Amino acid sequence: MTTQARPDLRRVLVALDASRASLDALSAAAALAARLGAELEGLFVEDVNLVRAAGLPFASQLSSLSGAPQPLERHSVELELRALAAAARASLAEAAGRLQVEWSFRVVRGQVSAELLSAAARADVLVLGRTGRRVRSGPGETARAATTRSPTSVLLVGRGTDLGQPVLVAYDGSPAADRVLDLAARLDAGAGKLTVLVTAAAPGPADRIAERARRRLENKGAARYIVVARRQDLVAAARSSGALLVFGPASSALGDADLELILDEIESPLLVVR
Amino acid sequence: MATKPLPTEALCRRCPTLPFETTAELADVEGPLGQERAMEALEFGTGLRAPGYHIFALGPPGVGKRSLTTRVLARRAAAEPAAEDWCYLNNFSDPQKPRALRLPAGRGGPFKRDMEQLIEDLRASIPAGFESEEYRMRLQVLEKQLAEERDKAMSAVQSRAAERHVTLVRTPVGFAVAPVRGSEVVDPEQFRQLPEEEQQRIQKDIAAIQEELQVALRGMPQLERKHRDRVKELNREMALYAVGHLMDELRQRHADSPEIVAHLEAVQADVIENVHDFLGSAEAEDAAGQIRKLFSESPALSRYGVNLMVDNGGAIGRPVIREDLPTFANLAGRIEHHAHFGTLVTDFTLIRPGALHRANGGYLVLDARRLLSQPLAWEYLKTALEAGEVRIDPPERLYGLSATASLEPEPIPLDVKLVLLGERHVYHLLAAYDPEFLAHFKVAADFEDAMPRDGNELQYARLVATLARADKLRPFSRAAVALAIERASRLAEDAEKLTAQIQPVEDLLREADACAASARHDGVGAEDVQAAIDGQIRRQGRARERLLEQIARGTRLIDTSGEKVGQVNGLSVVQLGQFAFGTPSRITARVRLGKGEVVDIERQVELGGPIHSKGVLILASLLGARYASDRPFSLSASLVFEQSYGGVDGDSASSAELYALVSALSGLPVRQSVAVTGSVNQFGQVQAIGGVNEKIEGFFDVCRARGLSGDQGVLIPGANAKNLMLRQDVVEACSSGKFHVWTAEHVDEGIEVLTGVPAGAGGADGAFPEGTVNARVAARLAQLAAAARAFAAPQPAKEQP
Repeated sequence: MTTQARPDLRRVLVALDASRASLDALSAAAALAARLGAELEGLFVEDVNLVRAAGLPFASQLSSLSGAPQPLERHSVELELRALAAAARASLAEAAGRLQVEWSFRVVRGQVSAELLSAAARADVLVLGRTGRRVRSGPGETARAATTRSPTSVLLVGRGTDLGQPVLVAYDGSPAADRVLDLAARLDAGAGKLTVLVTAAAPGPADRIAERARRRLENKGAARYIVVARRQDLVAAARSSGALLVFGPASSALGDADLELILDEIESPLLVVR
Repeated sequence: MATKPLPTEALCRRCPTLPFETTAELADVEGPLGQERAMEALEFGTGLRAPGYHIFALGPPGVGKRSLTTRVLARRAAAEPAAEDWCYLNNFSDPQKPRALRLPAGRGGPFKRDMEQLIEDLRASIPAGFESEEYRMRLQVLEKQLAEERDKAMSAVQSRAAERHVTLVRTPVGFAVAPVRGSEVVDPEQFRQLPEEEQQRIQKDIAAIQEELQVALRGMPQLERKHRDRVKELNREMALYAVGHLMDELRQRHADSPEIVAHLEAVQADVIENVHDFLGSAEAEDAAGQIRKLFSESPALSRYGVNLMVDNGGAIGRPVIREDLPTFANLAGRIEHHAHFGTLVTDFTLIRPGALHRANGGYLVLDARRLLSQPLAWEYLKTALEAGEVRIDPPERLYGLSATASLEPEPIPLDVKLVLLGERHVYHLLAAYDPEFLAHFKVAADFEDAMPRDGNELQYARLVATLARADKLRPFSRAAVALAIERASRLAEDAEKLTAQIQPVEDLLREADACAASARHDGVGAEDVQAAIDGQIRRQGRARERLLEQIARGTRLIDTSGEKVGQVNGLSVVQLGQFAFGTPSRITARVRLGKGEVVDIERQVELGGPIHSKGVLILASLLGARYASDRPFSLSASLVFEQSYGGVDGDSASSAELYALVSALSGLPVRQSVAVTGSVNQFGQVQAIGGVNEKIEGFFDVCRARGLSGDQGVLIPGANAKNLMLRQDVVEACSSGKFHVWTAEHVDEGIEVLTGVPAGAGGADGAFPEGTVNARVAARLAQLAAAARAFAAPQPAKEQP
């Protein structure tokens, strides 16, 4: 992506696997698409690993509830995947229909993360649930991989949350951050509930950065300004408000390593702008 | 020995001149009049608080049983300490059996309010604790701990899987283990192309990993259980933090009551155990959780409340409770239910007190007849007195109709003084038929029907004044009070007594006041009282007037003039509700030769009662003994009440029947202008009867309707002279000689009044003087005996020519 003055988010891609988390992601994605006037694309990835495992001569599975072994057959796996895809499509149609958003739906087979990343490259923002059909706690493997490796913006949605207000945005005064600030202002949609988290190490620069943000936000509704010097301050602000946090990767106070940590620490919705 | 009519002054005892103008001058009477015995019994019974010394106040209606009893009880109760408060509390170890708690008077209310305040405070303080940052942090730590434990278990499996080049694949229901190359699962085709040994090795590795995975998955529930325990412990800690200081405050305030302190301990333990009940409103629960809560058996927070059954806070003295509808439930209390999603549910807050609860420690006044007419009530009351406790059992359980689980509240010890009010016959029936009755009701307060008139007239006047003032009536004039007192004497049916039944007197006063009002009198005068009396008679007089009309028109044959053999005017009383009136009846007798029997035709057709038959047998015996003691009594006589179709009882006509027989035997006619009442004994003495005033007035009304001739009158027993309280018009007719009342002590006196011929006293040889009535009767009987003998003697053989 280039650092243009205004990102043009036309295509919102949502990863669907018919899980509860993906349904939350769907509703947030539909809301986002509606706010941005973008098209909504649903993607269902049939996990090729699962299909292959089911084709092995000794294939069996263990129930996650009881640990009891159960047969794993290719035919039934195919049927189940088709049923899940149909359910995901129906949910997408319903959510998009409700908000009158243009939509499309695709089913692909392959490695889940790879397929998602490749599809994300063709979209402007990738929306996915924080926890999928997870093996471990914290963000699912897929979510973690997509968030850190996606070439496009990623919106990560926690369980049971929606894309509500207020909106928090991390801002360091860089040109890339200006772009992020503009996007945040669009998401606030003039509700006047935008909070700008000014990331600066010292009070002097912070004032200048805040002033720059204020000028940029003129005529776009009122905003609050909070200076955050450390990652922990950012996390605390997001936690206490439960708001959507928008930030770009180039924030001077926040490197890539910090993004990994933020993923673990924040459960509120997170929009990483690239 | 000519019998003289009674003088006018003997016909109605007038009230002497009373020393006041109107009742406005008179002070109220303090206590009841003429009920000293009952008062004494009430004082005794209320003073002796021992088992079995309950009181039965017995007497006719309207004598003031209720008001007097209430007054005595109220006076005594006020001087005694107030009774205790009683509460029902939830029993946390067994909610089906609520606990009873006794508290000093006035402590129940504050305790109840304290507990209500506690619930309010807990509602605020518990959610506050659970919404605090500290709690959230600690809960997050616990959740992280669980997540880490889970991760640890799964990561171990995953890393061992990676060592063996296999991976865990998520399937729709769980996990599969499959061989990998790089990050991709080996394609089945590629797998089949692997050498056999390689395939077997991989399969072995997969089996080993699956085994480990199984162990890890089976360990998950245990991890979650441990986590739940840790959360529960945290919740307990938070709850104790939120509850502890509130509880400490309450414990200090009620430190003097070990029961309350123990209850507070139980409440605290329960609150901590069920802390989520307080979080319901604060937490956004899903619909399923809300529905579960609605259906949950225990009411969420009301279980910490107090059901204050009896609150004697502010009461002065022991309670005096009157239960006018003594049903089982009104006595014992009840357990109410409310509808909850189509089912009926209950808990300790729905226990309602009965009269026994409210009267506990004091006095309970019940009407005996109403009590006995209520199913289960009497038996329950005796059981409660016997056991010394109030137990609330639903009637359906007592009847064994229902076995559904319901509450069994802890019984409350009972200490009550019971006072039953009832008529005498109720008391005597209970005493006769209920063996437990006298053991419980050892004190009988027996109310008098009447009081002596001598010396009490002024007191009675004050009673009239008291009643008039209580009912806000106009003042009564001296003459009005005198008439009311005379009426009280008439109601007592005794010139020497005054009725103790206040109710009818009170009614008369009220009606007299209404008469005075319609006549626009400022006070109530004698004419108003008389108008009220006349009004009562007129309103109830339909049947009496119809009877008079039948006599006047000749439908009922009653002669009031002339003379007839074997026919006498008897007198009877008809009682219709509270109203009684007299009416004459024609009694006739016929005699013939026979075997010494007097046939009571009423008895033969079963229209005569046993007392009437007794009277007839007595007079048959009197006849035989008096006139035919030394010869066979060869008489067959029949007696009948003419035109009587409804049954006859009582012996007040036996003298009239005797006179009819004597007339029939002697052939002497009887004056039809005289009516007769009185019973006779075997020696010919005339004995007192009831309803003498009504009987005289009944015959007077018949004679007056035809015109008073001056020789008409009524013959009554001498013993009844003291009962005379005749109507004013009767007295006036007698004083002007138009009507007469004679008395007879002996039948001979009556015979003379009725026949005008001397009766004749028996000589030493038993013979009666010639020409007397008795001599003629004896002669006739001798004649009949001779005839009988002649019939009985063998016929002489016919002489042969």
